[in-house]
Amino acid sequence: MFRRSLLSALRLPVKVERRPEVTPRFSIAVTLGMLLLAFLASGAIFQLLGFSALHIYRSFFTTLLSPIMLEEVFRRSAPIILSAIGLCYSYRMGFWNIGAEGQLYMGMIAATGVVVLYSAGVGPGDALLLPTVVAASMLAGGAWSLIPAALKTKFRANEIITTLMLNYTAILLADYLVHGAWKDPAGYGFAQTVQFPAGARISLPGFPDAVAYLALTGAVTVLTFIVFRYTVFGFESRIVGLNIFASRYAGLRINSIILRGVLISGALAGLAGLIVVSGLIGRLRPGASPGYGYHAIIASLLGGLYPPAVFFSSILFGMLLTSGDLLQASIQMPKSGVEIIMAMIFLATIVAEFVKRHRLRLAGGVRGGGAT
Amino acid sequence: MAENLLERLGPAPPQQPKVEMRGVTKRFPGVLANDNVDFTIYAGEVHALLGENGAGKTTLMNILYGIYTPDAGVIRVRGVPVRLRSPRDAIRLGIGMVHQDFRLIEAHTVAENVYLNYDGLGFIPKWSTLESRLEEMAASYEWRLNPRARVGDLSPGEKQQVELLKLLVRGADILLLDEPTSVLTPIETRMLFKTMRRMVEEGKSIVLITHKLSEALSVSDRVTVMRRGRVVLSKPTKDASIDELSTAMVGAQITGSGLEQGDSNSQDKSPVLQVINLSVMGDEGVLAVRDVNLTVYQGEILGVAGVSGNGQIELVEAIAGLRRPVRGRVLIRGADVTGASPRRLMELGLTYIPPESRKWGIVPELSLYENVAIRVARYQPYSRMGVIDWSRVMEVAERVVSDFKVDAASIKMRAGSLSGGNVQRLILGRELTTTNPVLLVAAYPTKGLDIAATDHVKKILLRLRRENVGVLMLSEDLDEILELSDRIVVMYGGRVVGVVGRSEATPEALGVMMSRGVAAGVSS
Amino acid sequence: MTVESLSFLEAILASAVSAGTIYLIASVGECITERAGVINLGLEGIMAMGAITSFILTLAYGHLAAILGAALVGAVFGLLHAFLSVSLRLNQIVVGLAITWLGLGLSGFMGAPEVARELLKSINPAVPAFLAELKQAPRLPELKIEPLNSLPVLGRVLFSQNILVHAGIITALILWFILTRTRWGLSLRSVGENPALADTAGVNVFAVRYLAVILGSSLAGVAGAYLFIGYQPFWVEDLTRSRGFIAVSLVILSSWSPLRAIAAAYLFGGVETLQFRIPLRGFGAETPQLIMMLPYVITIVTLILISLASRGRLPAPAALGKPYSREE
Repeated sequence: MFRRSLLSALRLPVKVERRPEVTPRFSIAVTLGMLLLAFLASGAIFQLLGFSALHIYRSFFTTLLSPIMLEEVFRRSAPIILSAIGLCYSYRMGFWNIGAEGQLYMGMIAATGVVVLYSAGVGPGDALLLPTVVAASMLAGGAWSLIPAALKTKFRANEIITTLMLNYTAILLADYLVHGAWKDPAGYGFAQTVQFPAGARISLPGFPDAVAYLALTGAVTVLTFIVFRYTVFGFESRIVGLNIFASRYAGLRINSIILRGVLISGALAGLAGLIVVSGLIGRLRPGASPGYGYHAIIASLLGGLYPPAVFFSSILFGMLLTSGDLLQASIQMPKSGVEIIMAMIFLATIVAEFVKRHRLRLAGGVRGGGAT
Repeated sequence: MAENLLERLGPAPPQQPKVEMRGVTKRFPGVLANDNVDFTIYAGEVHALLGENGAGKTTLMNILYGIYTPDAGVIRVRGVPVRLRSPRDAIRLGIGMVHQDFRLIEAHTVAENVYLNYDGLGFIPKWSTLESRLEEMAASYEWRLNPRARVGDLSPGEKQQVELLKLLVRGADILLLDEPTSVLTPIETRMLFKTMRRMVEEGKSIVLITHKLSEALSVSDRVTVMRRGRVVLSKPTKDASIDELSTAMVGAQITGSGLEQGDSNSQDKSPVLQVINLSVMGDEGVLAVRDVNLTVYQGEILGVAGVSGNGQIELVEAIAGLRRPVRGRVLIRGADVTGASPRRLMELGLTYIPPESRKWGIVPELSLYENVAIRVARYQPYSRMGVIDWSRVMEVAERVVSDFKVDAASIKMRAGSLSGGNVQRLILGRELTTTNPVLLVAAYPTKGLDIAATDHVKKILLRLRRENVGVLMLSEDLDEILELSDRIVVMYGGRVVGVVGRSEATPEALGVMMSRGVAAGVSS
Repeated sequence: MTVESLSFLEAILASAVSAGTIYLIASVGECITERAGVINLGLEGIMAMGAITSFILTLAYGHLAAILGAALVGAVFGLLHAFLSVSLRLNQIVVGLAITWLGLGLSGFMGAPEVARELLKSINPAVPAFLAELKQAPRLPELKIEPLNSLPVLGRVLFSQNILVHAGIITALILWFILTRTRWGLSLRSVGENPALADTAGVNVFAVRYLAVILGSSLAGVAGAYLFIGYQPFWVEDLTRSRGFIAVSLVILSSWSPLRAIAAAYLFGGVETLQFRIPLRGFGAETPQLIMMLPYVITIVTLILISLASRGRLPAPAALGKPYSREE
């Protein structure tokens, strides 16, 4: 039954060979082409399930047309950009951190903790409030990410499983706190904490929040670009991801590099949590993040772990979330509709990797351009 | 070794040969591996296929086993011309091969390995029947092999028996054994030879691919010598003399290499490396290095000879900080560095050329200049305060590429697209240009290189020696060791079984030590 | 032992088996997939797809159609996984995550009342469509196996459950037998240990891996169906709550054996049951979140314990996670 003669048709009918060199331009073209395919495919799915694909496409692009919408896009992109850029540090080292969502929640929890204390009259004064919440959220996110990193380096525990499990744990912890000790007594019984005071929010005086977030996330992106390209740490983390034997041979401090990289990932996700809880919602409540930490995974992979590209692909996800809200209001499309588009983009991203690296050679020896 | 040479006259070859290869030619890019080769196998004989590494023996047998297709030539099996497209074609014709590296699944039992995809296997195999059949078969060759044992738990000798069983149950009666003794202990070797004799008595034919003269003489009925892709001699073993065979193998008498070595009087110089009572665990969880002592002085090359798999790699990996020793000490210039990290060793002046350079030495996805940076990016002047100065790295990379004649279009090329020889040159170049070693540990530095590259590497090693660097070198090539080393250490079964000065060393004496683990007449 | 505590024990064990079946069906399938050398992290999404399929098909055509439909949907997702990971040789981790994403997104979308209603209407117009908006479906009936169900303890724990509970155990036993005792099993294990060698021995590595991924995925679909119609027949988004990922880690705990997977799955069924039993006894009655963390925390602790017990040498198939290509 498992003989080659049977079922051998399962192997590809054409000869696929590796493409010797991949130029950046070709690589971008393939990614964009696959993105287009992803949009078409999800349109087809929506049409099948009874929603107008055209309507969905239209609403996606209207998010770019009005200043209010655009502001919303940038606001919602901010946590995704920060988490996605953070994830680049992990993924470059081959550390499959799926835990940005949990790290983001821990950032939210820590920042909220500071604010709860502040509202109760303890804790930092007005001037120190912002630095304290920033530090608290980054430390909490970083500490949460160190758990899977330590488990990986010490016990070789699979980081995919541990980070996923820690996501649920963090989300449940936030739930526990807002239902219990941190519940706002003046909140009419709603499960939510007190509102964040203005002093605990990231802002640029005289500008809308979106601009402040763009400045912050832009700076983080540029800084990361520099770290990856020009620093010893950035270079060595890449070697760890590519060849663990060569890393040992070259005398790299592998565990320390992994811990540092994952710590940065977690800290940035924690900072993203601060933006969510202080700026986007204004307080902690159940389900505060619609999955920014998960969206960041696709955004960082779609951007090929190249910070400027990751920045823009995160904005794409901000657009998707914003248009998802629009569609829910206008045609009652369920919220998870945008998740389908994201999943298709994810699939497109990984297939693009294959298309970039291979070309087809037909039986007659004719070369095709791509492979789809 | 050849004690029963005369007592044993093989049976007279019957008329029709079992296998006849005529005019077989095989070309690989840049190499003519087999050049118009004739080779015949008769029933009931052990036919030794003798030659140095790279003489084309394995290629010829891979052709007979259907792994390669020849560019020209005819193969007849039992008189019938055949085309062999895959090993399974060969097996159908009764031809089986045991490769140097075992093709076994460690997690499976002996029986499972033997009967994997065996035609007569029912949907629910009757394992107890199959296992007792195997037990019988093993017993008939006086093997103590438990068919229910996990292959990962077996010794190399037993694994080889499993490989043989795989062929025997499929009815193979032409067995091609590629360097079968390279992983065996002397006792296991003797047992294998006994088995081989018994098999040919049953009418089977065996080809013994080997580079060891002594083996060919002790077990074969006929011997064919190959050199540089050609057959240079083929006759009954009883008519062949040692001198004749060794001359045929190496060509003309070994003459001076043309490499000026100069004298070294290591006695006056201070030791750069001392290895004291070192024991190291291998991957299989048994000691691979046992109680090794050796010293490398300034300005000398210490060659480590030995059949591969006798602990050499584990030894150098322990010295290079990639493996933690179980016992013993390693000193560099008198400082205890046992268990030190590769980084610290590097900073103390150790430069290490790894084996399997593609796995250990480079990152194939990165460019050449990035590969130059992997060992040194963290040091000044290549970086300052954690920021890399790429222009300086590129400068050095250019120097490495031109000084060490790395054949690359640009230093921005992916290292993975280099050929093996060029990878080796890149690594040597990187290590020697960017570091200033007091001790060089080189594991098989010329393995897989062409003649020009080999020469280049040898010159570099000799230059370092002149510059008073201590060199510890592993090599599978005895000639290379004899040519370069001031002193030679022979390893066998994880132990140092002999230390010989170059002037007293002969290939024969080293060969005996390498294959039997005894210092024949030469004291350490 | 008092009668009261005996019946409490019975109740605990019965619900451990009931909850454990979710894990059992999924992780037995994953065992087979991984023994062929492919890791399928798409389990989570495929289970969600199985659950939503069973929800709508139960309303439309009843339980049997629901189970078969879930298996089929799982198989389709498995085919997609195999195409990407086996034929295109893409990173199995990323492929699995993408499949999970697709499954979660699609199932969430299909479960929304307005979509579920339309789906039900188009699948079987004879059934009143508003049923789908109620987010509920009839539960699988308990199968009381006479006279075994009157046995002490076992009667309630094993012989008063629904049919998928028994199917789970039987599937595990059959797959264990096939894996360890048959020619197919030997071929499959060889592919997971050393695909190149299996290939030269004449085993079709690609076919074996496709079949293993598809089988594992369709079992994950059934596990999702069981989760809904056999365990918790009320639709909520994120119904699976990482159970698919836990099932993947249970494969490690059961050291890749379908037989041991039975024990591991029921163990985790027990953990899951405690979530509901502990609040009943007082602690965490108002805020059950801390207790709900238990399965996740215990999964992590289990991974650590396995690592300590095996000293970092897990008996994982040697080629697990590695794409096979003939050319190299």
